[in-house]
Amino acid sequence: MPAPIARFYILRVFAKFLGLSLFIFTALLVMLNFVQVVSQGVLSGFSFYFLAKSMLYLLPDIIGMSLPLAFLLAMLLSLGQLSQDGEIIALRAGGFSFYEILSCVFYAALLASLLLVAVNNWIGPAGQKISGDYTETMLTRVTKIALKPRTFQKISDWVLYAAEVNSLTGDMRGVKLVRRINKGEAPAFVNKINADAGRYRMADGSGLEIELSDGQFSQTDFARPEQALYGRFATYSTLLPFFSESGARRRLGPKELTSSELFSRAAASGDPDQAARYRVEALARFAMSLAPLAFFLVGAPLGVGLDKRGRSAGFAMTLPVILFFYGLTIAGMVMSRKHSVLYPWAIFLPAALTSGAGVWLWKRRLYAK
Amino acid sequence: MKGIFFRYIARSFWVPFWFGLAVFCLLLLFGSLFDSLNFFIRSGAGAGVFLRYVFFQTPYFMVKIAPIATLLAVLFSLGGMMSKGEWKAGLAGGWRPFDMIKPLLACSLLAGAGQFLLQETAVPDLYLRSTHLYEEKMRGREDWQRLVKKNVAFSSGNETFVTAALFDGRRKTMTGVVANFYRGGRLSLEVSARSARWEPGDKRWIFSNGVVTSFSGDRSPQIKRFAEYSSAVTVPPEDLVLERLVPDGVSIPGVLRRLALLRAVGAPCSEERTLLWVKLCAPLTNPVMALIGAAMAMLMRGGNRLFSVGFAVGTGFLFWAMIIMGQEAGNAELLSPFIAGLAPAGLFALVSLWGLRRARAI
Repeated sequence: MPAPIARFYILRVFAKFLGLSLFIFTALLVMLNFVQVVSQGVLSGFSFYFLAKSMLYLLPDIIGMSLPLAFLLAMLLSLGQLSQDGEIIALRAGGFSFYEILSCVFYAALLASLLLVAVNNWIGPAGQKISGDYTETMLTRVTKIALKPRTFQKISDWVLYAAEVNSLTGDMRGVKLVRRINKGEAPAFVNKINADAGRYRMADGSGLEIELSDGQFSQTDFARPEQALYGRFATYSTLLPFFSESGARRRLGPKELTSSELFSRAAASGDPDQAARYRVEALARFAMSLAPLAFFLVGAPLGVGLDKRGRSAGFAMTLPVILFFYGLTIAGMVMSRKHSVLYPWAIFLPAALTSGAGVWLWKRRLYAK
Repeated sequence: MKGIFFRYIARSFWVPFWFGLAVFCLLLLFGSLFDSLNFFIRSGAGAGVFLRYVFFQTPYFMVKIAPIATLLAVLFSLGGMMSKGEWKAGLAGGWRPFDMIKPLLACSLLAGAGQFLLQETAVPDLYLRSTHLYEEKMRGREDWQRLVKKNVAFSSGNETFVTAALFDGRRKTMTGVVANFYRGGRLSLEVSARSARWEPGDKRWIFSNGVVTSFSGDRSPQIKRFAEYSSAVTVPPEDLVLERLVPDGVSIPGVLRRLALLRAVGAPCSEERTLLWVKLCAPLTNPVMALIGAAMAMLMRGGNRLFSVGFAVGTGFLFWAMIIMGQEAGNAELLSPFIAGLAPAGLFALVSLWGLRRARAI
C-alpha cells in the first residue's frame, strides 16, 4: 500500500513553490494594475481610501490571471528540484508509479481549475466592476483646484479664464466665464460673463464659489441671432459645480460583466458582432479555467525530465509554454469573433493542443522511464 | 597601470549591457506583439503593417530598457570580478572600492548619453509612426490625434476670445463659433456665426452666416447680419495644438514649441511642463542604476546570475512605476513639474548612496 507520506511530501514541495510563484506574479500584476489605474489620471481626484479599494477589488481578477502562470512555474520548479536531487529516481526505485507521485498535484490542478471557473466567471468580473466604479469616482471628483493666470480651465460645463490670479487670496482680475449649451449635437446658447475683478473659493468639494464685481453678461442664441441678451452688474455670485448634470453613466466593458450577464446581453443584442464579442468573452473564461489542468499535463513530464539543469531550466521553460498557450488563445478568440463557424472550437483549441502535447510527452518521457 | 585596470573594468560592462538590452527588448517586443495581436487580426491589416509597427517601436523599447541593461551590466561585471577574486586582488593592490566602480559609472554615463541621443532623434518620429499604424490601420481610429474637438475656447491675442461648438483641425473649420473682442476689459464687439473657415491667403478666419453685435457704453447693442465676415482672429489652426500629446512621440524642442503655443492661446499645459522635466531627467537613470547595481553587488558579495537578472527586472519595473506615478502627479499638479521629473532618479540615487555607504564603498 503506497504510503501517503510521499504524496504529501511532493505536495508540500509543490505548495511552497506555488505560494512563492503566486505571490510574485500577483505582486507584479498588482503593481502593473496600480500603475494603469494611476496613469488614467486618478491623481487629480486622489483618495487613498478609493485607490486602496479599487486595488482590493481587482485582486480576484489578478489572482485569476496569476494562478495558471504560478501553477506551471511551481510544477516545473518543484519537479525540477526533486529531479535534480534524485528524489524522483528514489521514489521510482521505491516502487511508486508516476500516477502515485503526481496524483496530489493533479488534484491541486483540478481544484485550481474549479476555483478559476468561479473567479473568471463571477467573482473577478464583479470585483472589476466595483473597482471601476471607485476609479471613475476618483476620475470625476475634484479635490484640488489651482487656477492659473491666462489659462482656460474647464469646470464642468463652464470655462474660466482670468488674466491674473492670486492662489493664496483667491483674487482674480480680468475674469471671463463661458458656458455653451447644446441641444443634442447642435449649438443652442452661449452664455458669457466678464468682470474686472473677482474672487474664488472651493466650496466643500462640490464646486467653486465665484464672486465677480463690475462686469457684463451676454447670451448668444443661435436660433435667434438678431436678438441680443445683454446686461451689466455691480456684483455677481455663482457656484460652478465640479460635476456636470449632463454627465453620462459609465458604460461597463465585457470584463466587468459576469458570464450569465454576457450571455443574456448576447441573446438580447441586435448587433451580431457585439453578440459574438460577448459570447466569445464568456466562453474564453471557461477555456482559461482549464489552463491548470493543461499545464499539469505538459508540466509534469517536462519537470521530471530536468535532471541536471533543475530550477533554472524549469524557469526558462515556463516562458515558451505560456507564450504558446496564451498566444493561441488570443488568436482563437479573435478568429471566433471574425468567423462564427470557428466558434466555440477555436477558443478551446489551445487547451486541447496543450493537453494533447502533455499526453504525448507523458507517453514518451514518463512511461518510457 | 591605472589606465589599464580602468579600461579592463570598463570593457567588462559592454557585453552584458548589449546582451541585456537585446534580451529585454525582445521580451518587450513579444509583449507588444501579444498586446496588439487581437487588433491586428480583427483589422485585417497586412503582415507588413504589423511588422512595421513592431519595428518602429524598437528604438522606443531600447530607450526604456537601457537603464535596466545598465543595472544588469554592473551586476554581472562586479559579480564576475568578485567571483574570480579580481575584486579582492584590486583591494589588496590598493584600489579603493569606489575607484573600481568609477569605470562602470563612466560607461553608464556613456550609455545615458546614447539613450538621450536616441530619445531625441530616432524615437519621436518612429514612435509616432508606430502609433499612427496602431491607431489608424489596426484600430481604425481616424481621429486618434483628436484634431476634431468639441466646445473649445482659445485666446487670439490681447483681449480677443473665441469659443466654438466644433473645431475641425483637419478641415480647418469651426462651427457654432462666437468671437468676443474686448477693449479695456469691456466687451466691445461680438461676432457669432454658424461656421468659420481658415483662409490661408489672408491668414485669418472668415466667419459665415452670422451677426456682428457692437456694444457701446450704456447704449443698446447694434446688431448687423452678414453672409461673410473677415475677422481679426489671426491664430492659424496649427497653432492651436489640438493634436493629442504622445509623450514618447515628441522631442524636447517639440515640447518647448508646444508649450509656447499653448501659453499663447491660454490652454492648460501641466502635462507638457511635466513631460519636459521627465525627458530632461531621463538620462540620469543610467548612472543611478549603475550606483544601485554597485551597491547591491557589494552588499550581496556578487550573487548568482539568475538573482542578478531577477533583481534587474524587479528594480527596473519599480523604477518605471515610479516614473509613471511621478509624471501623473505632475500632470495633476500635485507635484511641481521639476520634482515630478527628478523625484524617481533622486530617490533611487539616495537609496544607492545609502547602500554604498553600508557596503563601505564611500
